[in-house]
Amino acid sequence: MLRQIGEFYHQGEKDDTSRVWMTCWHHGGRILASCGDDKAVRVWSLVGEPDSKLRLECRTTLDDSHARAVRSVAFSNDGKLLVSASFDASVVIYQQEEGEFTEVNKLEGHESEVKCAVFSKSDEFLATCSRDKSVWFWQQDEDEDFSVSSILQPHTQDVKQVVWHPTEDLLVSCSYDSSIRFYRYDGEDWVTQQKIDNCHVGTVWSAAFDAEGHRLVTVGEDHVIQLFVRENIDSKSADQDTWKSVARLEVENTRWPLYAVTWNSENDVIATGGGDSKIRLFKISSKSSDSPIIEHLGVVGSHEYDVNHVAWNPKFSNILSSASDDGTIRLWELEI
Amino acid sequence: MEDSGFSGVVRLSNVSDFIAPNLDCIIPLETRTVEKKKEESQVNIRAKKTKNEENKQKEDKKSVKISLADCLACNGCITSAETVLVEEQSFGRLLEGIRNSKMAVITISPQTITSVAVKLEKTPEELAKLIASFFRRHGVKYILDSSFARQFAHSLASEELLLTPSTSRPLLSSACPGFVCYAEKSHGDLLIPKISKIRSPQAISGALVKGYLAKKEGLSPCDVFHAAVMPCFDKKLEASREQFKVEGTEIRETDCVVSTAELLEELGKEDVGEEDVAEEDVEEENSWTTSLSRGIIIGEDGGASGGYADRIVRDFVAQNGGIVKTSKLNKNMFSTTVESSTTGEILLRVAKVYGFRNVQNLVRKMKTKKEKTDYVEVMACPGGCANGGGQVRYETMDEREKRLAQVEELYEALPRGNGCSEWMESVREEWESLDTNYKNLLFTDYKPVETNVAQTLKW
Repeated sequence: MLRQIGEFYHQGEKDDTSRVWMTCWHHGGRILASCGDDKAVRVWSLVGEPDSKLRLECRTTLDDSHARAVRSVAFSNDGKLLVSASFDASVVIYQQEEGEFTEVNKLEGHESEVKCAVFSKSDEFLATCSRDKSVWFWQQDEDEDFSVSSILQPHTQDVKQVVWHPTEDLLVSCSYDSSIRFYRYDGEDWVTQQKIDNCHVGTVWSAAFDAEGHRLVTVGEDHVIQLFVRENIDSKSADQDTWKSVARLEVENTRWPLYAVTWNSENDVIATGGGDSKIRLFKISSKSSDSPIIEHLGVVGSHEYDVNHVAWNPKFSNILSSASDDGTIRLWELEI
Repeated sequence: MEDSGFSGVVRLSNVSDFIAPNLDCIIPLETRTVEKKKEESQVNIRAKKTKNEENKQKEDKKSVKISLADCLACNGCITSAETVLVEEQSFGRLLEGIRNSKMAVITISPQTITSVAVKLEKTPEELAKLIASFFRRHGVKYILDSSFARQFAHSLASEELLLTPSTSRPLLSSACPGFVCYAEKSHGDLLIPKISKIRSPQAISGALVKGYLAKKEGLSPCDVFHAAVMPCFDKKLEASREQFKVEGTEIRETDCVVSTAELLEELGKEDVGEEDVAEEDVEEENSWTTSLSRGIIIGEDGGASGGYADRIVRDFVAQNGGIVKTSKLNKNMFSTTVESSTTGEILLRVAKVYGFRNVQNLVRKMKTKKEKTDYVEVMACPGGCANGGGQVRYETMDEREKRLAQVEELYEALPRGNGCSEWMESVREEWESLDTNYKNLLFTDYKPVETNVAQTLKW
């Protein structure tokens, strides 16, 4: 079902590897950014065509911005900026011009390791989260500098990931405290819209919205994948609405956490990566929110060690990238 | 732990961190004796220990004490116990301290008075008398207005600014312990040199009590108990700073700090009413030690956070003239400029920055050298001290906003002057005669704090 079409080492050669934490696709689908323990961010070009040999070629290495591992990397939605979040408690913004990336900003303020940094869909806001249990919202001001818009400390433990809604200014955060929280902008400040405690037994590692933003899946320490739906799709906007859990599936035959989840916006296939080094696919069997079932399509690929992140290509919807502790970024092709 | 009364700044960086398995306490690294695992311990279970062995074991186990002052230093570890230590500065301890002393003095902040006044629907003057007589009944000799101590701070501010070269500006106010703790822990190199060295009103009051009043009354500082009632919990951390111990001793200048809310709770317990207000003693001289008990509160321009920015502007204009223009960017950010009336050139830039988010932005601007102000009044709590973490709390957002506005109104309406400057002069004279170096007690310094061990790890 999923065919590996390439394996690329983030750093150096096979014997000199270090963990890759994350990969992120540019909206055009032809550029990929990766980051890892080697404190560097790399930018790759996707060369080739889906029918002929597709491969990644490393174009740029950005390795002098961070003093510790880079945990997360993300493109802004317009592709002009790249943001990296590091264990050194800083967030760095790079500006892209004709394929060249330059560091333009360093955002400091988090007290400890920053786990994730992502731009909202309109690129108006940047959300960051950290082991210091807080979620920060930043906004770009006239000088192209970023200023802090709100600082929220809703979680009681490390916040692992923050994910933006595909269409509206709604953010969800996942934490080691087993809960997820939703946030919206009330015009002046960011406020907590909803809290869902005991989402998983243990850390909630990752979350992903579907293409329309009506549904959300989360994965966690307990190797469970859980589905949430918006309760009032017809009457409320996403940021004013509440979410409820409608289905959950515990992945059997594994005792390792699920670390990553990504929801394909074209074909609705959900991919996960876990501590058992495996990539799995899932599908939601019925679109109606009354009784959806999460179907496990099976283990479709694997790395040699933990899979930290998976991401569907936004343009070539059958292509998936994965990042692993084994130091590789792999490309996969979905064959239905 | 969310509503513990600490400012957001201190909370984020200090208090609600829970111990992580790999974070070690940085303080007892020197004092901890690594207990060697006795290889043969399993064999020795039934064997009788010799007397020597027993004694040696006792020696090896040094008890590691961690004090509140140590806790300011660290980012992980026993910080849930830190709140326990802070809770030690409770009202119970306060009353105990009064009982065990030869003389007890309480310093009350005007923010506290206005906050309780709004809650109990009394005038600040009535409340001042009420609170004073409450403490008198418990054996307190003097009830002081922290605004008096603040006058000392204000009188030194302009001179300090004048002596600060433009490369070392903006000069940052030092009265907010939330901000000071944050600056020492994060951005120490950037911020510490820029924080005003003038003590906060609480700290000056501590020096007044244990350095001046004690000497005047012929008492040793250890026989004097000084407590303060403040609008926030961060002031408890401030009171336990090393710099605020009586020189050469372990005695704190301010032994105990309680918050407005804690005072309100105590007043509630005793069901204090108007009948309980003691008769005004006409024989008693009206001075700074008795003003509060008489319902005389010292007011000041510039808002409920101490009016530092305002005073700087006023003093500047008094010296140099100029036109004052103030703009309000939002609830928590104000900017004031003094322009030359002839050339229109800007002579002075002063700002007020309240709340963690704005503190972050201020720090960012300072880092990138984009901050052009000369002086910034920085407060960790949004809304300033009137909205401190220890002030009287209300249930709903609406109620809170309404009450905050009332507190600020009452504060603004407090009478100005009230004989303050004469009192200050006479205290100055007398203090100098008792202690020629008394001026040192109006200043303090700051030390950057080593962050947690994990930050220095290389992965």
